[in-house]
Amino acid sequence: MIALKGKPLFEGIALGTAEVYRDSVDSAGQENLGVEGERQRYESARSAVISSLKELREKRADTLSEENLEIVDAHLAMLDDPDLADMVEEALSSGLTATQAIQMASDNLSALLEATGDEYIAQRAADVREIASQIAGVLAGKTALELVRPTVLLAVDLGVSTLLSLDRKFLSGIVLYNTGATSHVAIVIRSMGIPCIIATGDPDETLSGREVILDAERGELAADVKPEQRKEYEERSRKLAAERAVLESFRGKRFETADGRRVELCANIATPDEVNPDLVSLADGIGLFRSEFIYLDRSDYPDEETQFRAYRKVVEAFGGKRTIIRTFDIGTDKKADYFDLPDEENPALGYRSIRICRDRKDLFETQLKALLRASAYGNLAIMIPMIISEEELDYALECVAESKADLKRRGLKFNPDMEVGIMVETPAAAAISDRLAKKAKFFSVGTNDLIQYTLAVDRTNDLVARFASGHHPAVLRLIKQAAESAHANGIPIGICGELAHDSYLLPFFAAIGIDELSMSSSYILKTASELSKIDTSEVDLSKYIG
Amino acid sequence: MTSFSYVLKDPAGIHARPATQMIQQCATYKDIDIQIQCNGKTADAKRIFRVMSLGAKQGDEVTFTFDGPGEEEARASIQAFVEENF
Repeated sequence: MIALKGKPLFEGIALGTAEVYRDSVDSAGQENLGVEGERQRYESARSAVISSLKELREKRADTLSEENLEIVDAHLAMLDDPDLADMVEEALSSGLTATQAIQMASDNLSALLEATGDEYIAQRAADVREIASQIAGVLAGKTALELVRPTVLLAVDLGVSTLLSLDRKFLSGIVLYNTGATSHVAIVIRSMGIPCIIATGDPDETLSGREVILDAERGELAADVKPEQRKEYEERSRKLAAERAVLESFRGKRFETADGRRVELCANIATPDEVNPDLVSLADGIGLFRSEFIYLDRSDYPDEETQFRAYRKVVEAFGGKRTIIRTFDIGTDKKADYFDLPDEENPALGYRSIRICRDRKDLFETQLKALLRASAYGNLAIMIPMIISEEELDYALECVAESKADLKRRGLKFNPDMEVGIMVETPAAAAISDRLAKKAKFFSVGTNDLIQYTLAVDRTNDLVARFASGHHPAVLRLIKQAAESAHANGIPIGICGELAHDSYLLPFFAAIGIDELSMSSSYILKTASELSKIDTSEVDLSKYIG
Repeated sequence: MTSFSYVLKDPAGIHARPATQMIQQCATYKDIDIQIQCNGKTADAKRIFRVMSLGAKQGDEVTFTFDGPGEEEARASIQAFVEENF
C-alpha cells in the first residue's frame, strides 16, 4: 500500500520502522511561575540548549562536515544574540511565560529575516524557529529523540541539530514535511546521503511503529510491508548497491568505448555553488557553464569585477581541466528586469543572446573582459549561443579582440589564446557548419533548442511537446553534418543538451566521433558504463538517420 | 573612529556562512563599537540578526566603522577577513 508520495530529495531505498517526529511541542497548559520564575526557566533552558549544541559539536566533530559545523555555530551565535535576549526579556517582563516569550521572539525575528525578501536569509528564519523550538522543547520537558532500530523518520520541522544528534546507523530514511529543498536541513540530509523525500501536509500518526519501505527513487512510502514486498525490497536494495558499485568502478577511469574511442564526459552547471572536489575529480571538465546566474536575481547589470571573481572561482577549482563558459543567453524564458526587454509573441524566435549582444556591445564586452581575465587562472574556453550566421561569429570574435586590446591597455593579464567556440543549436548553424568550423575553435550542440527549431515544436507547449523527439532523423542528420564539418576542419564537437546522456543515442554519438558529452553530473558514471560496452565499428548509422 | 568600505564580490552577499565567523570575530572586540552600513541601513556588527537583516547583496557597498580603544587593529583584522571571504 502506498501510504504517501513526495518529491525525492536524495535517492535510495530504505526499510525501517516508521516514527513520526515533531520538533515543535505542545506547550498549552503550562503554569506561569511569575516574572522572576519564568526568567529563570528561560535562562536555564537556553543554557541547556547551548550546552547540548556544544556537546554535539565536540562529540560529532569528526563525522560532521565543515558545513554542518558552521550551521551549529550559527545556531550558537543566534542563542547568544543580544536582540534575541532583548525580545525575550521584553515579553517576559510583560508577564508572559518563558515558552510564550521565546515563541514571540522567534516569530518577530523570523518575520524580520523573511522581510528582507532575500531567499537565502528567509531560509535562515528556519534556523531561528529551530533554536526556539529547542528551547521550547526543554521547557516542556521533552526528551531527545533516540533511535534504537532501523527507522524511517516522518519529521515535521526537523531541526538540523536534532538530525545531527541522531544515530546515523539507525537512521534509514526520512520523509520531510513542509521543508524546502534548499533549507539547511535538506542540504545536510543530502550531504549525509540519507534516502529522503519531501512531502506536504501532515504525517499520518497511525504509521508510527509500523514497518515501512521508503522508495526515494520513485518518491513513495509503502506501509504494511508484505513478505513479497520485503523480498522485492531486499532484491532491489542489493541490485542498487551492486549497480552503484559497478558505476563507482568507472570513477577516475579514462572514459572510452569498448574499441578504445575516447569520449570526454563533462558536467553542465549553472552556478559556481555546484563545483565541489567530488565533481572536479569525476568529470573531464565543464562542457557547459551557463552564465545567466550572474545576471538573474539582481537589480542591475553585474560589473566586470563581479563577473571576473565568479568565473575565476570556477576556473581555478577545475585546475587544468577545461571549463567552457557560455556567454549570456538572456531573453526568451530567462529574463532580467533591468535588461528591459519587450514582451514578445514568439520569444524562442525572438530577441535573445547574441542578438542582444549585437545592439549592446558594452554588455557583451563587459562579460568578455571578465571571462578573458578569468582565463589567466586555468583552462577556460568560451562559447557563443544562438549563432545563425558567419557574420555573427565575426562580430563576436571582433568583440573578443577589442576586449583583449582594452585589457592590455589596462595592464591586466589574460590568456591570449583563449578558445572561442559556438553553440550549434539552430538548423542554420548546422547547415553552414562547414563555414563556421573555419572560424570557431569548437562546436557544442545544444540539443534542446536544435530539436525545437528543427521540428518546429515549442518545447514549453504541452500540446505539442510530445513531438519534440530528439531521436528524429532530421535532428540526428544535422548533428552528423556538424560533426563532419568540425572534423574536416580539425576542431572538436561536443553535445551539451539533454540528449547527451540518452542511452539510445550514445552508440550514434560515439560512432560519428562526438568528442565530448556534457550532462548533469549525476549521469556521468551511468554514461561511462554504457560507453564502455559500445563497439563503434558495430553501430549501424542507418538505424538512426534512415 | 576609523572605517573601511568594501563592495561585496561574493555571489551570496554578506549573509553566507562566513558571516557567523565575522560576527564572532567582531564580538571579541568587547570595547569597540562596530557598525555596518549598507543601503542606508545600519547594523551592529556583533548582532547576527541585525547583520542578516541588512540583506547585503553582491555588488552592494558595505561600510564598517570602528570606535573604541584599539580600533585600528580591529579594523585591519576585520577588513582582511571581509576581503578574503566576501
